[in-house]
Parts: sequence; C-alpha cells; structure tokens
Amino acid sequence: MVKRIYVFENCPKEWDATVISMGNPISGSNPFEDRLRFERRVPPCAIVIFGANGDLTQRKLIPALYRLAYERRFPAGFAILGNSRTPMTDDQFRAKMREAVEKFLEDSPFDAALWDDFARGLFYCSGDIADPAMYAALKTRLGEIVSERSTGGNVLFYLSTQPSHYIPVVENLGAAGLNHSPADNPGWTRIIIEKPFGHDLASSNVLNEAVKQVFRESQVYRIDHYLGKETVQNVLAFRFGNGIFEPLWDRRYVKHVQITAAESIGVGSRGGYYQEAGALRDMIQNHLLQVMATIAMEPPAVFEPNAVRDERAKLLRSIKIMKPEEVHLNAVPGQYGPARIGGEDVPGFRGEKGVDPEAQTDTYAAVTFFVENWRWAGVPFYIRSGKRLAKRVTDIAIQFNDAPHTVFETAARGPNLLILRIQPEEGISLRFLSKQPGSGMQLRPVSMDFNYGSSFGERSPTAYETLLLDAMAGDSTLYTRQDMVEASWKAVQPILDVWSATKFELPNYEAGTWGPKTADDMLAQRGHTWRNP
Amino acid sequence: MAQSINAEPVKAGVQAEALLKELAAVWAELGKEQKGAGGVLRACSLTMIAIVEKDADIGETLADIMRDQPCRFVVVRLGEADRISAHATAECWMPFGRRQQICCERIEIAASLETLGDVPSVLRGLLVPDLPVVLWIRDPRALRHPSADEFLSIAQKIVVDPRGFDDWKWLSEEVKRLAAAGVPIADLAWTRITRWRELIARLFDDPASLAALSSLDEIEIHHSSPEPGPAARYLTAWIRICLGRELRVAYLQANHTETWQIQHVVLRGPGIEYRIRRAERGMVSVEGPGIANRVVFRLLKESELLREELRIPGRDETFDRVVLAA
Repeated sequence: MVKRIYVFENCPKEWDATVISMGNPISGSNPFEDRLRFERRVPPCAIVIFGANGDLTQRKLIPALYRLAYERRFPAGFAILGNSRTPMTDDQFRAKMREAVEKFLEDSPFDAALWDDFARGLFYCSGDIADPAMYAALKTRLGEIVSERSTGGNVLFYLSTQPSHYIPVVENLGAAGLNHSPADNPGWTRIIIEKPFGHDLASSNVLNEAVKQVFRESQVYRIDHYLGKETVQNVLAFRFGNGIFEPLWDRRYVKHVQITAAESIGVGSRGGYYQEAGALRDMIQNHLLQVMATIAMEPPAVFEPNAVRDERAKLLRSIKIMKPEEVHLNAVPGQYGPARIGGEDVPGFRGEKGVDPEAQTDTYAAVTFFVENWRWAGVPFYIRSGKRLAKRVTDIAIQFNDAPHTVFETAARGPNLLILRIQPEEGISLRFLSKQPGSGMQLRPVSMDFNYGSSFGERSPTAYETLLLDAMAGDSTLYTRQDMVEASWKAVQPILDVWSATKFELPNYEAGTWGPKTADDMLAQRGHTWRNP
Repeated sequence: MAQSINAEPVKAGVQAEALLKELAAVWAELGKEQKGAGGVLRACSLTMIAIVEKDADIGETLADIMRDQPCRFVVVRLGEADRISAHATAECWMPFGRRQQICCERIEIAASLETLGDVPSVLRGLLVPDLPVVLWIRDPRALRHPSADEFLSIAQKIVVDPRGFDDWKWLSEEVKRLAAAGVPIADLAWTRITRWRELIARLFDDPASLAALSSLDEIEIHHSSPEPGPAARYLTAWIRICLGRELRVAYLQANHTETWQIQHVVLRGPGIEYRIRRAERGMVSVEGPGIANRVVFRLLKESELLREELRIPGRDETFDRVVLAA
C-alpha cells in the first residue's frame, strides 16, 4: 500500500540569509551546487575525436571518458562522436570501444550496465579528414546529436591524429564553420591538440599560425599529459601550500636540480616515429621543460589558469639559450646498444623494427639548463630522459648546499636531497644526516618519506581524466599555451641544430644502464654527479 | 589482507602512558619481523575514536578507512565491564605490488555505561599530537551519557548515524541541538544523500533546465519506511533551502527492505518533471526533459560514508543550515 503524505510548509524566517548564500537560480548559477561534497562536474557537451580508431583513443581517451562516467563526473547530456577513415557503424564503433575499455581500463571495474548507458552516447562518422565534404557530413551529424543528446551546443574537438594532419583538420573545421557555435546557440567550441606541437621552432610557429586563423587562443587546449599527473600538480601544492620550503627554493640554498625521466623499455613498435623524434623532442622539449617550469616558476598571485600559465611561461622564457659552441658542454645525446638484461638479449636501437641501421637518433638526452633570473642564477638544472635505462622512474631531485661548516668527524657526507617522485611510487622524500645510535657521533643519511599511496588510499585519476575534465570545464591551468610552446622550442632549438649537423659515435650506452659516460662528464665539469634514482 | 599484531592487554586500570608503551613495543616487534622484507611504514593522519556496542563488528570498516585515511583508531566498546580495560594492536596491510607493509595503530578500550566516564581522561593521553581528532559515535547511548560533553570536547568532528537506532527522532533532535550550539557534528544520514543531491544538481547544469527551476513546485520522495526518515527530511529541506521558496512535499512509502532508503525522487512543476529512481544492477535512472541516462549508484558501505566525512576536516555549513530546517 502506498501511503501519501502531503506536507505544506512555510520557510522559517531564518532561512532568508541562507537562501542568498546558497545560490540563487535567478543569477544563472546552479543553486544546488555543493562544492564541498560534490565532485567537480562539467557542462553538457559533445566530444568529437579525430583519429577515433587510433591507439591513443583506445588506450587512453575512451577509458578515461568511461571512467569519468563511472565517477558520475559526466553531465546528463553528453555525446562522443568518433571520426576516422575506417568505415564503421555506430554499433561497430561502440563494440570496438567496449573492447578497448575492457582491455585498457586501469584500477577500475568494468560495469556492463554503465557501459550500455555510456555507449548510447557514442556515435561514429567515417571519412577522410583531408576531404572538406566530410566536415559537412560531420556538421550535420553533430547537429542531430546535439538535439538528440541535449549537449547544449558545446563542442570539444580532440585531435588524436598524426601531427601532420593537424593543420588540414583545423583549416577544414574553420571552412565548415565548426570553429564556433551557431549564432543562435550560446554553447562553446574548444579544441584539444595533442603534442608534438611541431617538430622544431619553425614548424611549431607554422602550426600556431594555422590554428590562430581559425580558433582564438582561449579555445585552444594544447595537451601535455605530464601536467595532468597528480604528482606534478602536487608540486604546486607542495611549493605554494606550505610555508617551510619556499624560503629555501633559490640559488642561495639549492646547489642543483636533477630531473630524470627514465624508461626501462625500448621503442617497441614506435621505432618509425621515434627515429624522427628522439628523446630531446619527445620528452625534454615538452614534458620535462614543463616539469622544470613547475618546479622553478614564481608563485602566481591567484590560482587561476592564466595566472599560473603566465608564471610558467615567464620561467620558460628565462631559460638561457645556448650558443652553438656551448651545446657540446651542456647537452649529451645517447643511443642504446644491444645488451643482455636479466638473461635475455635485447636489441640496440638500430636493431629495432622499422629503425634505420645507421640512425643518429637520440634515445637518450641529457641537458644542462640555466635559468636567467634572480632566483635561479647559476643553478644548473640537469634534465635527462632515455629509453632502455636501468629502470622506469620519473623524479625530481633538489640538492641543497652542504652545511657551511662540518663540526662532526664522520665519514658520512651526503647532500640534503628533496626528492619529488612522479612515477612510480609517487611521493616525496627528504634525505638528511642523522646520528647513528651508540656512543660516538657517527652520522648516516636517513630518509623521511611521504608516500602518496599510503597517505591517500583512494585512486588517483589518470592524467587524461584530469585533463579532459579540465577542458570540458574550461580550465586551462594544466594546458600549455603557445608562448610556452614557443619558449620551450627556443630553449632546445640550438641543441637540435648542433646535433643534426654532427655525426656522433652511436650507440654509446648499453641497454639497461644509466646512459652514456659523456652524460656523467657533463656534470663532472661542475663537480656534480647524477644520482641513481 | 589486514593483519593484526597484539600486545598484552593492560590489566590493572588503564593508563594512556602504558598503552603508548605497549604500542611502542608492537612497533619494535613489527620492525624485527619485517627486517629483510620490505619493512613497515607507520602511517597516521588523524586520531579516530569510535564508540561502539560491545560486539559491534567494525573490523572491515576500520580496515577500509585505514587504506584511505591512516589513523590511530581508539575503539571504545560499551558492554558490561565493571572497570575499563584496554589493549593495543597494529593493523597492517600490504598495498598490491609493493613490498612494504603500511601499519596503523588500534587501541581497544572496554567500558560500560557505568565506567564510560573514566574513558575521556585516558583518551586525552592517546590523541596523536597535532593531528585532527574525529569521534564516531556509533552507539548513541554515549550521547545520553553524563560524560558526553567531555567526549565531544575532545574531537574536532563528531559523526553519528541514526540508521538502525530505534530512537532516531531523539537523535535527530540532538544533532539539531548540537549543530545549533556550534558543535561540529556530521550525520551519516546526510552523507547518504550526497549522491542524490549531486544527481539533482546535475539535472540543472544545463541552462535550459536551470531556467525551468523557477516553475518547480512539488517534491515527491519515495522511501522505504512507514514515515520519512532523516535522509528524506534532509533532502527536502536542502531542496527548499536551495530554491528559497515553499514547495509541496509528498512522502510516499515504497516497498523495500532497506530502512529509510530513498528509492525515488521526483521534482515536478507545470509541464515538467524530473525523476531519479533506483534501477536494477546498482544503477539509478535519471529522466527529465531531454535527459534519459543511467549512472552507477551501488549501496555505500559504512566505511565509504565515513571516508566522505573524514575528507571534510571542518564544518559542513550546508548541513548546518539543513539540519536546522529539517
């Protein structure tokens, strides 16, 4: 039996003040919002993915979007429209994406019921991205989806194609009038561009000019997934949320900074691509310079997208540009040769599938950067990245100056090190000297550890979840801006120029080691050594 | 899998200092046991005091919390003990793929209603310095006890749960009284409706739906009890506060076994209707003009509710307002 109780109640007088502070529908904001408890939500929108049949879409994008739906982060009205050359029906696309989610979803259960609902928002439109007629078809399809799925006219384009297709896609979007909402629609239009943003300074500028002709800078989201990593974001929290570290964060206390991004695997099936890119372009120009900017930037006045990005950009523009004759002292290329690791023979880079046996590609790069500002003048930032190194690790080590005078007669030395571990085992360690128990005054280095996994048991969102959500919400804090891209290309361009004009003796390090000896020499000239992370 | 290392129970009376010494011994023992293995990481981000019935099975709840918020747990069990007694343990778990165990401390204190007044003085010595203290009153008898104010004064946050408590009306009034007096109190009945509230908010993210808000004039809540429980009352109070005006409220009893569970919420106005209802396979369906989708909505465990509260270190001002109006 259903019991129905109607209650007609009057608002008590004391609610009046409450009503104002909890939001007012007339003002246009959602009065039900509760920022303390609710997960951040995004407005309804349609996401159009170019390259929807590709690896990135299947491995990262769709699993991230599904996971956002699982976490109830998605708006009630959303749609994903995939495009690639392969002819497929909506249902075939859904089946393919389901397979991808089941295979690549990390740390999350696959929920068939949720998938069914999620899949209803997946659509597909095949066609050649170089063909203007395809964009007319896409526009029609998008129009249907907008009304069918109540996406509010908001559209997010995602370029997940080969970089060589970026300019044609952008130009065709502009020609089809897809770069803005129709006049009768208040929705927004944004575009996410995957790195690489050009393969050198000149091509980056060409890409930027083409994008600028069609989209305003505020519509463009250049993705660098490193900035979406929780631990990279935590660098900002660590630096600007605490009072004790920032006073030490300058040339008076910091001896040098080391940023390492090491992979233990080789290039695998990416040999063809990697041969043209190399470690300097693939990692240092974008990811690691962004990390360096995060470590070294000045505090922004407010935590708002452009305030944070202004500071990052300022830092990148402060990087000393090397003269050609300085390059060999401050930048070292490496390439892995064959080796036997763990009882298994692994090929050298030149023996990898699709790689030229004479390739001069840098599978390892180490660079010394200097920042020309008051805070960092004279402090070397050593950045290295490589494939087939001793282990997979990304971390930042800030080495502080030694105590000015040693009063203990002890064999133990060892610098004070602050280590920000980005992956794996995300966390922060501080290394310092401590007295060994017992008589006498023998010191020994010890480590004070903060481990993300043990202090926050909850699952961290993947970088793509964070960044996709940010783009939908219109938050560009963790996206790079054209001036940042340009500044980082300027910082590496002299190295690229010298390296491309030089024939190096490669390979110069064995797979499974920490890179070429010349990289050690680069630090040794300043009396420093690489740490083994 | 959580693993416990026990120290010998403290027999004669209970001294905080003696318990801390026991804990130190437990850590030393753990260190020895794990020497050569990956070692032990001692983790603590707050002190959590739980007052529970003598036989309450909260092991799984505490283990779940430990993974998210490593604490020093102090569990006060209310039974028939004629004097208080206590013992210390360490709860450890090995994160997947790691070699190092993460361990938290747990102190169990047995007390009765007669001896409960002896407990606060012990608790004060057991709080982890400089970290927040949360008091979870799972057995509401403690709130009626003469020493209740002493317990409340120890914590920066107090959590109660009326579900399963016969005299929930009294408890609701007590929550209201404490909130009005400025005590930082949280009610898990409110925590249980976060997702309902979130779904309601989500309906109005779209400008077209937002414009329709002003015409809503009725809330209908289907719940599984003969009379609307605290969750249903909180939900209606919250909606009315958010909208800032009167609405007709209809409570309907739905057939379901879970006490006070909200089954179905309808927001209605002339010509428009939004429905959120529980569906099969742990989902809810959301329907409204131009909206028809489903989201995951499985039943939350007690530990998940507590974890939500533990993530909010201070007061929840929205709740403070709602509880006064409910």
